[in-house]
Amino acid sequence: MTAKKNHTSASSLLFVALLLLVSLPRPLCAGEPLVGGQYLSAAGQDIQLLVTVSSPAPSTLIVIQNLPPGTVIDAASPAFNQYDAGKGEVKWLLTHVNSGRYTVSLRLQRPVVSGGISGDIRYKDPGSGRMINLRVRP
Amino acid sequence: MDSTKPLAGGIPMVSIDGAMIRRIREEKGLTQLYVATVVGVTTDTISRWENRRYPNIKKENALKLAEALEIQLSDILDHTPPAPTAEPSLSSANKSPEQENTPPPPDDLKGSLASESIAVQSDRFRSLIAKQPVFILLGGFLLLALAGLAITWWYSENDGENQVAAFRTLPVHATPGIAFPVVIEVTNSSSKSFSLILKESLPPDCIPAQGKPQFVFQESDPPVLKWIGKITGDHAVYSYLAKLKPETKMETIHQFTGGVTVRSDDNPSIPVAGNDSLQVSPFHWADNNGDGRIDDEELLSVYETYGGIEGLLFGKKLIEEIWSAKGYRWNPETRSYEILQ
Repeated sequence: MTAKKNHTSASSLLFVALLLLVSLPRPLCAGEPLVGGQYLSAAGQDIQLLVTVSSPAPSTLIVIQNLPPGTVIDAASPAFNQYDAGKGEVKWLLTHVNSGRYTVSLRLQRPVVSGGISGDIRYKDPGSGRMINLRVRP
Repeated sequence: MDSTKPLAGGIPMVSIDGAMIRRIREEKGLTQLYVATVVGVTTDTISRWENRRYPNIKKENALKLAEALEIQLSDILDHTPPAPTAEPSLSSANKSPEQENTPPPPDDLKGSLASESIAVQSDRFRSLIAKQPVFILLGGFLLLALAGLAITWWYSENDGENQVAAFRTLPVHATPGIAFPVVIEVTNSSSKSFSLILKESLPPDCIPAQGKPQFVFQESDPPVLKWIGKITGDHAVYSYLAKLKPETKMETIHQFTGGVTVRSDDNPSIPVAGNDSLQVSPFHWADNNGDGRIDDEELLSVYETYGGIEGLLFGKKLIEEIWSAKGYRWNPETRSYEILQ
């Protein structure tokens, strides 16, 4: 009976030791997304895309907003770097990026319907150096 | 007196007179090598027999030894009274001549008591192992962890020269007269800090423009840039801008070489790895694939590689203009890029 108890307590001890070993803090695994995107407003005249960046942050992001071709833009915040009206593609270049939240906004001349837009966020993964393209849908 | 003593395995043993063996061998002018070859042992064994380090040997070997010395076995046996010996607990049947006979313990009783004690302890140990395999596992883990710590400590205490590496990032091509950036990253995998001298030899047709941190320029052929610094963390970045002379011919290839010397000049220089050649081309250095435009991936590469270097003027404005436009082309007349909208 005593021997059985000893066995049980020793096994528990071993289990706890292994649990501690595997639960040691470790760096963010490769492949876990560093950047996320979410529409705060995806229909009407005002389009707002929220970009969240976690650590280690890529230094530069390219944010792309795909609009219906021929859309006229009244205002943008921040100012965009490229707009191809024929394709309806707006591009922002965000440099000196740190971990945190960034919002890009557009004021359109005419409202767009929900589902008529999409976004892309492009960056270089700081670990692998590979370019990541994150598609964002409303 | 009978000098033959059987071992536990039943192998007859004899006590030999080493001094007599040496004297007879030397009188007959025989070498240890000759005797060793006839007996079938090594010269070391013959030497040990002669020096009485193995006073008891197998009778079979003693007979061969007598044969080699061309004498009777009795001539080389030790006739002095033997010290009392204990029964060896292990058979010597499989032992080599070198191992075949070590002097027995002086006291029979002590020997047998010690053997019993060892046997009892061994039984207890086996019983503990059988009852508590978990303790054995934990002990194993502990030993592995200690071994890992010892290895880590050993590596961290060793000289850091082998733990320093340098890597150059250089565009694959550049246009004459247009500044391009070069970055050399020195990495230190040890926990120590080092003083270092970084030397970079530029191609003769290359003119250095800006250094971050500032370099010492040696106007020689080829031109040499030098940095004297200290690496305190896991890496240090040295960067510079350079231009190819305007008259440099298109399509020619130019070589860069560099080395890092750590601590003193007594240590060999560690060569700078990475890209070391640059082709003269009408394409902008940031247009890596030379397709006449700077795409998203090329732009991100430029910013990831050079954007973090404070104050390095690598021509961001022009790169962003080309990226925002449909493309560009080199005008050899004006020696500038035309942006295609």
